[in-house]
Amino acid sequence: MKFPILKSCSILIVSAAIVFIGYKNNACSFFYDCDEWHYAFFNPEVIQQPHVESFFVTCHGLHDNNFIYSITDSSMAEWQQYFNNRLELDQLKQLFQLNQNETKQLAQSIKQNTRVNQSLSKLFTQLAATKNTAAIDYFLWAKKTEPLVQAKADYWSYEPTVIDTAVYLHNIADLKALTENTSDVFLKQRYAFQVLRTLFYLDDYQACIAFYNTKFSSIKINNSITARALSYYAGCYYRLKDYATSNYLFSKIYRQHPALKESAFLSFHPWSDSDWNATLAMAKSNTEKETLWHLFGIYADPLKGMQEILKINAKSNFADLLLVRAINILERDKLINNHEGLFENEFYNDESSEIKIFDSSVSFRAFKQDTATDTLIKFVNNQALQNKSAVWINAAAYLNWLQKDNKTAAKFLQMLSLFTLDKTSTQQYFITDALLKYSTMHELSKSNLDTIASILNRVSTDTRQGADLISYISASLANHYLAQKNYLMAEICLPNGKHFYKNENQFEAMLSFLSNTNHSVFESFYIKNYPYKANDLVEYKAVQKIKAGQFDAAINLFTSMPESGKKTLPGNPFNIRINDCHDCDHLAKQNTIFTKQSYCQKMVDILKTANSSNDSNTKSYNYFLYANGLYNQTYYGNGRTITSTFANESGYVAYNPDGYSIGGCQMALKYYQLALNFATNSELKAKYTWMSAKCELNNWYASRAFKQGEKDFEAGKYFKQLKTEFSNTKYMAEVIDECGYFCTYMGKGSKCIKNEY
Amino acid sequence: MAKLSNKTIWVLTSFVIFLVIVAVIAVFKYQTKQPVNKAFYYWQQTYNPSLSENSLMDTLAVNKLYIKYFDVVWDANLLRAQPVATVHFNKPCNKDYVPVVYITNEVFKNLSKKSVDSLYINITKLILAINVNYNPTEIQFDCDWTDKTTEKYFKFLHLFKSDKRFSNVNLSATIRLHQIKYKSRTGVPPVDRGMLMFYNMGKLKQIETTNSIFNNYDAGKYVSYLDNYPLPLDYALPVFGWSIYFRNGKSQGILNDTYATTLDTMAYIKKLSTNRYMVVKDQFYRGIYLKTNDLIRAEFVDDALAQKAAKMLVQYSSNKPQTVALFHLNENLITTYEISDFKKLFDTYR
Repeated sequence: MKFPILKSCSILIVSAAIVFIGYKNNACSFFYDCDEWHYAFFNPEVIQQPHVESFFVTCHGLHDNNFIYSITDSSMAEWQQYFNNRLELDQLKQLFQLNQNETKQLAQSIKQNTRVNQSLSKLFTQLAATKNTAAIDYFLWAKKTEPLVQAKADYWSYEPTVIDTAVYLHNIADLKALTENTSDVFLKQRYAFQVLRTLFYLDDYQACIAFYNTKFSSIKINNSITARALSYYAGCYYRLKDYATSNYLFSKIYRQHPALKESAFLSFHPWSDSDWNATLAMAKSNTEKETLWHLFGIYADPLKGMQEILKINAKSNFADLLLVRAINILERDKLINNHEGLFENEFYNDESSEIKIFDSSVSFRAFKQDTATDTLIKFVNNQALQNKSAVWINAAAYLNWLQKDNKTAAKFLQMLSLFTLDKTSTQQYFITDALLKYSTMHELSKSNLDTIASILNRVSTDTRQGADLISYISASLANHYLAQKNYLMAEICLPNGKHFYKNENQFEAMLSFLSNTNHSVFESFYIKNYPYKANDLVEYKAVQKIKAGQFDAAINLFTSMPESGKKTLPGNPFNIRINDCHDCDHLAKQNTIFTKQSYCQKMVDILKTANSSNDSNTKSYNYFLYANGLYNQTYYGNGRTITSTFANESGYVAYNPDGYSIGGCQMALKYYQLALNFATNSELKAKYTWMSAKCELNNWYASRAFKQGEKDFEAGKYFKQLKTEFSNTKYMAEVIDECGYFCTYMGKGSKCIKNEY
Repeated sequence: MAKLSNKTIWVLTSFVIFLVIVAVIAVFKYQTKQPVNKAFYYWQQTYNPSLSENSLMDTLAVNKLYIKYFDVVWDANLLRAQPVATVHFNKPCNKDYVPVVYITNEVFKNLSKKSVDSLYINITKLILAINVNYNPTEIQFDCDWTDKTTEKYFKFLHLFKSDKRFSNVNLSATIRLHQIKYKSRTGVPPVDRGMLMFYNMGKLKQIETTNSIFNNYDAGKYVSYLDNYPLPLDYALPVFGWSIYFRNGKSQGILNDTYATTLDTMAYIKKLSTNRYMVVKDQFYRGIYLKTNDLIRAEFVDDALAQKAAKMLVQYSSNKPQTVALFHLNENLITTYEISDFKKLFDTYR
């Protein structure tokens, strides 16, 4: 077999690259964004350069790609100024968006003073008032170029874009003449821009370059068009594969035209050492050299970029972005959190995918002979000592902690404490301080923990870095507590109540802990952030009593913790309907708003009345109300919130194995039957029979006999009873009208209502 | 007529019986040894096979091509699926060919279930626009789906199966080895046939891997599951290579068009072993910045390795493919492999 050099095969590589990118970012969207695969404790915003924030490290390329809009905004601002603000921004936007025909009609209408569509009347009025027909003519020309430059509107179309080259070549001749003859410099420049643009999209790069050199560059006006024209000029060189020149020009755009910073960087593309060296040789000033090394640092090697920049200018702030990028890139390698390994080549990795608690002692990846990191840190240390800027000292402190040189980290932190820092830098100081103190903490003593907590109290979780710090330390502490079998403190540090609350002893221990008012600084910090309070736990216990029908006991628990049981119910739990409608009940006017506690009290009172009365009507009615309460506190009732707790809201399972069940109509059924027994007329008996039937049906839904999609309802004992014993009642007639199931059972077929669920 | 002796009758009868047996065996062998379609994948954006590519196909009697029509990727800025690298035919294809559409898994990860229908409409619209005067008998979708995207991808495939416009078109899907082994998790796609991509089985991003495209060890972890796979399978075998570069033990990317032969000639690249190299000076290389101590692993499937792959499938599976396709056709195959290498590969399945 022969082994010659294989030639290019671009589509294979594109596909391979797609596969590789797919591999690389395979887990990006599984659960966690690829930017979240690692902890990040160093905030790049310490450099206080908002104009470069799009270049902060992210796995998604650039942070903010809305540069297209900002260059358009610049252009619009220029036109507004040109028109002496006679055109409002909305009208200008409308003018920009008109197509060629619409622009033609508008121009004609203005010139001939004829009417336009209502939608254009404001634009017409304002534009006509400028009396600037030359500007209108320019817009006509600009619209003629647009079809050439607009991207294909429908990506899914296979039709090729047909370009009539002859028309555009003719346009170029006219545009050149207009460039030459127009005395208005603003419009002159814009005509020249249209020439460049047209030549570029006709792929005549040499002519575009020539026109730029001979004509465009002589028009002395500096605005958004200058930037865009330079982009086309640079783009021509790029298309001609003269990367040396294109990279040089893109660096100029990057520095001089902030609105095009991102697109300039995305086009910056050194291909080989020779073209890169040629680019460097083109730099005419130190600033230009710094810019080139700055772009090099973002594109290729931040350390080398910084080194070269600071050789040229020891005080250059071009190096700052590279500094924070270098640190954030290092974090990506060194502060892996436990998520990445789960998804990388998931099916080729037979290891267990169970999430392990993050452990500080093994989480940081220390590379053997990691000379690159050592070199970076030495460089940053030297710079911090030489230029003594807060940014570099802050960076040095953090980097030395990262490399586990706690002594040097502490030294830099001490230096930093002497500065008056802005808010971001102060937060970074606190973060590094917390990390350093935590790293040097050898035991979980009260004073050590209180010290850590004091710092954490000052860290804001508004930033990712602050949130990551707390997340990391909490997870690490939880790990330590688990190893000591101190499950309560592990839970407090890293809430994972799923298993914790299953154990009744643990439940009670947490309740006691949270109820205690005497806590250390450390405990107070975590209790403050712990999602549940003592009243949540007491309420949970009370709800178990409610579910068991032990309302007295529930009241006692609510009373013991005044903040508990105060949540209001959305509907009256003592009302009931033939056909359950929770929304209807919730929207209905309520004269009395019940809370969980007052509901329990009412239940106690109702039952007492029912039990103690000698009057059948009173007994019947009160048993009915009691049954309604019991019904409405189930899944099928309007008062599900009665039994909602911190546990089921979080998806936890706490102790009491019956937990949150969807059946549980048995108690209600019992009391509907009692109500029935004491009912004194057939209408009421029919009503209570129907309520019993509902309970019976709900229990069937909750049972294994119910299989979704097979049978919608089961006519049980009470359906039959209603039919046989109460067919003459008005109530039964109402049930037939309102409940499709019962109506179907009664054989009314297509006349039955179809209840929407 | 003279009466035949018993001996003569016996001899004649034996001879007839022998002929019948031979005929039966011949017919049986003929019926079980159906000719396998010989195919190539054509993965370039412009369909314009050169004279040598055409000659190769003719010599090998290749009667089928899998032509990639386009990729579908997820645009994270515009939040939508987009076609890219749509094929253009500079000349018509005179062979039966199967349009292939590659859809990244990320598309299905990001797409809502509701939007699968509109994705299907867009993809089929573009396929039909490209087909224009061609009526394929098979269409193939290539997607490295996972258990998280099974539902949406299979919904997409179901739409195709129930689309009356394609009622006479067979549907195939590429199947990767992990989908064979973990079929209970990733499911079996609702297609007529699977195309087993018998390559890219190793851990590409791990520095210790010798050849992530194909190696016996990694292949061995999966082949025993082949016979349990409930889809009839065709096979795609690798005839390509690439290089991966590493920094501090972590993979950084693929080096375009870079093979051991390329690296052997590059300045400031030191050869460490057969397919491993080290960068000894920071440098730009085709737009990528290589740094001192970066490691490069060149991977290639030569004819011996390709043969191993082909034989392994025969050895470990009773599946009889109808088509064997080589990934992928490009002019450099002619200079890299001998004709006999290809013949041997295809003949493995005769």
